Amino acid sequence: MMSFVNVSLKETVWNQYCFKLKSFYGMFRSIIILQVIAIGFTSLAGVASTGSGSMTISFNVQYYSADAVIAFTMIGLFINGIQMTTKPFREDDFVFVTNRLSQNLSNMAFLLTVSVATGITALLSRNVIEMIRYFLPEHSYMQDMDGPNTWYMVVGGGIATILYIAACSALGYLVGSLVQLYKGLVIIIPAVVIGYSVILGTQEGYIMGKIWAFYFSEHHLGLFAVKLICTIAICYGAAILLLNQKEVRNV
Amino acid sequence: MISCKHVTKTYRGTTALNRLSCNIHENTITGLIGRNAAGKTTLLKILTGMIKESSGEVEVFSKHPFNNLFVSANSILVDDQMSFANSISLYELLQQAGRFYKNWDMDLALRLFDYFSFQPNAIHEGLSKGRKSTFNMIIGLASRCPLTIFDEPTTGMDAVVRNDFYRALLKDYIAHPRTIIISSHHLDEMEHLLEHVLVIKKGKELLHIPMEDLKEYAIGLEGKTAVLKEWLGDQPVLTKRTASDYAYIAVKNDFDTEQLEQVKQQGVKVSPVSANDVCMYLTKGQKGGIDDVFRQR
Amino acid sequence: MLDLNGVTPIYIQIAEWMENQILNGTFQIDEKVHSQYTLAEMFNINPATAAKGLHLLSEEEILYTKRGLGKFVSPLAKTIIMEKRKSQTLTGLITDLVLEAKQLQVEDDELLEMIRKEMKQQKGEEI
Repeated sequence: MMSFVNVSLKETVWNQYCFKLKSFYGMFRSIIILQVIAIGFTSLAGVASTGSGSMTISFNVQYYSADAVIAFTMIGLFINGIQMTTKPFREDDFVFVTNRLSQNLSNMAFLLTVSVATGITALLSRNVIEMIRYFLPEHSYMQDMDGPNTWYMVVGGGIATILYIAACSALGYLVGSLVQLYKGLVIIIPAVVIGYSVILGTQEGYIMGKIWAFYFSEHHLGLFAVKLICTIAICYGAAILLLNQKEVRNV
Repeated sequence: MISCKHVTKTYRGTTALNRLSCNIHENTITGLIGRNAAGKTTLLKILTGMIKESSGEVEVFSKHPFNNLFVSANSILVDDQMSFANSISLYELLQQAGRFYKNWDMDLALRLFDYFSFQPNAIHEGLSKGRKSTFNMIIGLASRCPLTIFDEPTTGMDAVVRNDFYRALLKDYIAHPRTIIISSHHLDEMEHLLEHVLVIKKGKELLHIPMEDLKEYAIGLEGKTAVLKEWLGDQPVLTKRTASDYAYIAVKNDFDTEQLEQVKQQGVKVSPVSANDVCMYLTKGQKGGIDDVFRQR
Repeated sequence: MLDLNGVTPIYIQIAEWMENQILNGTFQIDEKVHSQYTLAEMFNINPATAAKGLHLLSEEEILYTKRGLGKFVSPLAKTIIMEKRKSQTLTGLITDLVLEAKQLQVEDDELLEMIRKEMKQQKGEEI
């Protein structure tokens, strides 16, 4: 007689999380490649802008370059978030022990891990860019660069970066979940987003402006963190609810 | 162990299961027989919680299987749709399976892995159809789930591997009894393993009887058409092949020995009908037989 | 060995195989016979089918059960088997033989002669 086995949700999520770290390392790799590309772009762009020779401009370029890597990472994580909800990724879990909740929780944990890891590499990329610049000709002004120079700025900036990235992956996951349930959204969502920015973007769209201000103009780090953590929680919570009745291998 | 009551499943208008009811007992091997699109796979996916029934009651280990972690931990569905992560090797897949399934027997898995000469660092996606089936079968056997389901497990396997598979299944079942369901078109190659047979047709259960009874379910009668006609009256006929005034007819075996002796005396040859043929006759469509297609228009 | 795809149900073949083993002395009186699991492994069949075969022999009192120990050959096993085979198997074979002879329009005397001839031949071989 085969004995029945009891497993806890926690245990299953942990197993799935470990499994994902092992099997989805391709996601890390693709983000790192994105970051390398971004580093390449910004290093070259920095060199190109030295022509103006002004200290102010080179400062702006540097500021921009830190963002470029982060922006690429955010886009990458958004796409990864969507990917995690697609059929091949969803069905990988169902050859082993799982239910929808454990699957979503482990996906969430995995995406957060990727966010933290790639957030850190994105932050470190700044140093890489500086180093590359250092070895490029006509870079002497780089030495005086104004980077984050207090611990508060380093840690705060780091947390903010990681939260932005994590929020992007959560948003991607939610969008992906919606698309899984209603295939039509694959056209509707981009249409609405692009349409909205094209038509209203030029007129400083009221809602867009509000959203932008809500997320990007918060000066208090604590409040900012609360806003983003809530956003992330809402996205994942909604995704869990949406996907909880989704069937797999239902061909 | 498993009980289904009036289970219906519809996919966008098509009915895959139509008020199907069945009970499957603990520690038996059941063959699930039906034609393509009879609803076999749908039933198995409902039992393992992959999909949700549209209506009716399903219970596996006294629990509703859909989205149930307990059912998932104690059951496995082996089919050719198993999606294994392609970024990790076959060997790592075995290790991962071991993390998830508590009864997992790594020793058995590795012995089978070795016996069927798999490369530890090969990738699942790179395997041929038959090799995939073989690998999936290893996962299915080694996981030792109280409910182990094989859906068309021998797809693409060659004859030698098929035989090995059935033998491995039987040996492991004897050593570690559990509830096993195997669906297949090929009843003849696995009938010796089965204790029960569940025949379904168009999403409905048709027959659920012990294997040995299925073998005696019908008899074949061969003789003069007139004699057979008179003797059988309006008994429902499972199949009929005629050549001029001679006919072969298979009917449900409701006769006693005396009646059969009688009909033998009239020059009718009585023969058993194999379980495979019984299933074929029972599940064939309403549109007559393939002969009718070729009949003179 | 068994004929898995043959016309005789497997459990009956199992019973017959076991009877043969008892008749030829492989299993002596009061000796333990194979369990359903051993039989299942040997013949590559479902243990339940093997059990059914053993059960059949228990019902005919060819085997007896010791609780928790298994099934054993009963003292009268050989006699019972031989009696049964005479009354069932032989009669059945004779029915078929006579029917076949009728179809082939073999005269009664001719058939009897054929039987005698066969008996003589087999006896000759034994000597």
